[in-house]
Amino acid sequence: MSLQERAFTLLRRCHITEKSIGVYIFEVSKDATKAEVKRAVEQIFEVQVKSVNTLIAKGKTVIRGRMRGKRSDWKKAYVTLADGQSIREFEE
Amino acid sequence: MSVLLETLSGLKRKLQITVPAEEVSKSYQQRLQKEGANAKIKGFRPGKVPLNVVERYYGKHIRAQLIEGLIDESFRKAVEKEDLRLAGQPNLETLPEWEKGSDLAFSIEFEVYPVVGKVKTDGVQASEYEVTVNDSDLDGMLSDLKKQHIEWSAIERAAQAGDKVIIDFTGSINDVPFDGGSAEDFTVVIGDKRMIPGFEDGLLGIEAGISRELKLMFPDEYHAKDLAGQAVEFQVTAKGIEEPVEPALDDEFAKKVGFDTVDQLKEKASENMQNEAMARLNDKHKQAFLDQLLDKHDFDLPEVLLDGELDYLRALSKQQGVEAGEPEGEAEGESEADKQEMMVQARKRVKLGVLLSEIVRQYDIKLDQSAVQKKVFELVRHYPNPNELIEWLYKDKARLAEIETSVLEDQAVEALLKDMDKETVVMDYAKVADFVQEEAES
Repeated sequence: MSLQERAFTLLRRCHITEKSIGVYIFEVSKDATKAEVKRAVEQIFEVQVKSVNTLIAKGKTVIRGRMRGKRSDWKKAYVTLADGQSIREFEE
Repeated sequence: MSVLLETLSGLKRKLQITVPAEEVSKSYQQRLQKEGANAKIKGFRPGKVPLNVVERYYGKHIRAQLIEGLIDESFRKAVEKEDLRLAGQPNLETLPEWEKGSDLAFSIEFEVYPVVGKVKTDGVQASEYEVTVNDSDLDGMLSDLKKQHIEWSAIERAAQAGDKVIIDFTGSINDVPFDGGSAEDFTVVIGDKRMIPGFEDGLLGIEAGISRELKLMFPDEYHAKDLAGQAVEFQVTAKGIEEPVEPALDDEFAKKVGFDTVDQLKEKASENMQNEAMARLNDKHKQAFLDQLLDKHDFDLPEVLLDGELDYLRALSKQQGVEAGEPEGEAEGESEADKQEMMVQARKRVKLGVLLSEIVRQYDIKLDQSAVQKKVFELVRHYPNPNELIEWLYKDKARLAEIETSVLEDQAVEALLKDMDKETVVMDYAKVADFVQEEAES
């Protein structure tokens, strides 16, 4: 897999909530590193990234009738852009 | 907002309206905020959604609403500013495109009411009527009334024309009795022409207890097909003769028809006759008066109104055709002459409508609700359950509008007539019917 392909498969979706104001939150693949996320965002959206923080969100336990299950864990990446920059695709 | 008014042709107008970008944006932001205050979007508490997010979710919808609302509003303002009186529905050519930051520009076509000017009544002939009811007219009326209250009294003599004869009869064709050809205690009034030809005449001179044999023919166009044109023999036995007795014109008779004395009856009857004659004359006069007014004025008529009226007339004639039992397909192929006739009708009705609204405006006439009520009551008076009918009439907007228009017409004519010199025409009651007829034909 080329670096380019890796960048596109790594970012799953943008997570927009009240807490995401001023920072971009992405759902990324679980094995993505901070450096990889930074490179992917810079490449795809053509912006400068200041910092990336990541965490693994634990999947919720779901009980459906007698069955007890668990949703998959997922990785969340907080991406802060360099001052004054924004990603046009998510702002309009 | 900039407005450009263009006259296309006749009464057709075109408005070109441009709403500046600034105004549109302001309105757009307001709408976004309003929408955002109630929007429920995942990840945000209600009312805490940033505008850009609201826009991403609802932008398209809001823009469509915004354009529609702005067109409505600016068009209304433009119409007010230019002092236009719209006829029919305005027509928006194409829905305008709008992008953020650009002006909103569009053009609307429509028709306006013609300028009628001051309503002219000079030279229009107006009349006032007085009806005189003669004794002979009254007598005629009373004798009609008496005929409706005839009583029969048994008498012992030979039957005359006009008498009622009670009979048993058996009818047979070739000596075989046929179905429905016999009856007992049957009453026949000689001269009513309810029986087959010759039957009633054959009873002349008969007396109670006497039997007769009548040899007759069923007419060729008799309703029962198997009897039509057949020779028939009736064995008739008279059981009694009754002669008609007209009630005498006295207080007793007056009481029977709902009055205390004969004088009161006469007074009421002549009053009724006068009212009825006056109503008919006034109706005719109103028509003639309006016709004259129409001839006095000349102005263009809005096409939309004409088309609407034509559609209405067509629907009406179709409905009448169906009610008259014509097959529905037949109404489709209307002839050229019919079309012409309808066009003339429609022109007249639209012209009258425009003229009336002008009169109403110039004389500042308000619809008299009590007159409407009176008219409704008059309409339903003769029906068995008037209250239901009234309710129905008030529910049916089109019907009510018809009545209201007619009342408004009356009021308009009245207002015009007030300032006019009138010729007073005195007329005998007997002549009224002829006069009304004649007017209608000419």
